Amino acid sequence: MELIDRYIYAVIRLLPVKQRGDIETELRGLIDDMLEQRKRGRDAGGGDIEAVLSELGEPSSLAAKYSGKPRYLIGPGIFETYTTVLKIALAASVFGMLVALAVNFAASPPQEAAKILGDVLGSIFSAAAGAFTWVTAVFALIEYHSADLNAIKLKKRGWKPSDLPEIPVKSALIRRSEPIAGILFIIIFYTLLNYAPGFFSIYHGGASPIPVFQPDVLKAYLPLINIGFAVSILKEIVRLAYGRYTLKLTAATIVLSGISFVLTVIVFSNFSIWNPDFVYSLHQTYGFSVPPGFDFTRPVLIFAKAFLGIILFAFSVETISAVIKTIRVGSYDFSRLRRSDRP
Amino acid sequence: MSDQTDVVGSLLPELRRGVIVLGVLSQLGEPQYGYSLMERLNDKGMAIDAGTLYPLLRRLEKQGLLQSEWVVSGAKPRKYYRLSETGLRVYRVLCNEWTAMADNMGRLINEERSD
Repeated sequence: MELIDRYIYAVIRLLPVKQRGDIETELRGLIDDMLEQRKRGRDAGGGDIEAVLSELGEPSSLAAKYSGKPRYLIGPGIFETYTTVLKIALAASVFGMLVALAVNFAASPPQEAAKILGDVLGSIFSAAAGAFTWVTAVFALIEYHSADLNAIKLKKRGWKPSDLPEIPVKSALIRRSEPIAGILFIIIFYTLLNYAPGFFSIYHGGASPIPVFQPDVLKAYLPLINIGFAVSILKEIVRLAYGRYTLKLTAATIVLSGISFVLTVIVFSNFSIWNPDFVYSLHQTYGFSVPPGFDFTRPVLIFAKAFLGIILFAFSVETISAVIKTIRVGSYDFSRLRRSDRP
Repeated sequence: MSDQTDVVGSLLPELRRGVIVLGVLSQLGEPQYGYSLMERLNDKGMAIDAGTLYPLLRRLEKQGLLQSEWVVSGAKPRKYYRLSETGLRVYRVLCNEWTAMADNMGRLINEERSD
């Protein structure tokens, strides 16, 4: 009897909770019926139970028949992109962590430096594990929802030949290196800002480095900044997955860029994120001459405002160039393409 | 030779898969529980194993072709299935399709033989 319980447990644990009770009773009845059929009056021996369970087959394949459709965390449709992004993310997070460790190592007193060295393996492992978790989670979500989306779309109006995407001209293709480089940079920046904010400093010989940011304020904004990074990575993944400029892709990237733009503006419109003593410390270290009564916080403030302007400028340039590129390659004349392909 | 056995081994279940539903529906004008249905089908020459039949019954119920009822008065609880009204209509349509298909296939195969 114990064998039967083990078999039933092995099957139902793979099934949705709601169906378990019902299927358990049903299976128990079935196995009982099969045993009775086998023994025909005589007592059932251990061999009979084994024979019946063998006939029912391996528990996971029986459970698969009950649940009907194959279930994927990450299906074959997006697996290729998944492995690509995973490789990039792993490489970038490990590299970023190495840089962060090097910075912390250089900036700390000798007795702590030994401790940092001791943490190298642990830090790298946790960086890699974090990258793996995030990438997998994002792709699992995409898989979960895209299956639904496709099913709904197809149910609504079926598939038409006109749904076929056009053959992209060369200029419409996004070089894979672009989004890959993008993801690399974002992850490196993410790791540095989170694990070695001291990296963004001016170093001068033996003197203590002059930080560009105000550490406390930066720390308070980190969650917001990280959301911005996540959105930017999502944008690059979408670009990588689409592989070509289309109206839809451009719209999606503009929305995502817009979100990270707003987040960046929120963070940097608080001017106290910059180290107000930055110029003063520079003056102390390098001893350049200033007019008497000079306000050392003024240049920092001017720079902070200019930085906002630069962000706005960069966002506008990116958006406009994306639109122009899409219009240019989106409205190409197919016959012209064919002609130009000819020798 | 074993190659041929492999091919037949993979084609035969495919050939049978569609017909099994029709066979199951045909026997469920009156309530049956899984095991009795299985024996009945086996007796009438349609071999089907429990691991296929039980999940299939559930699927057909979910599609609304069958309705089920637990009967607990006997020695052990049994789930009885029978055709729903929808199931009966679907069964009739499928029967017509099958008859037409069987006729056509019969002609195709016999044409081959007489050549």
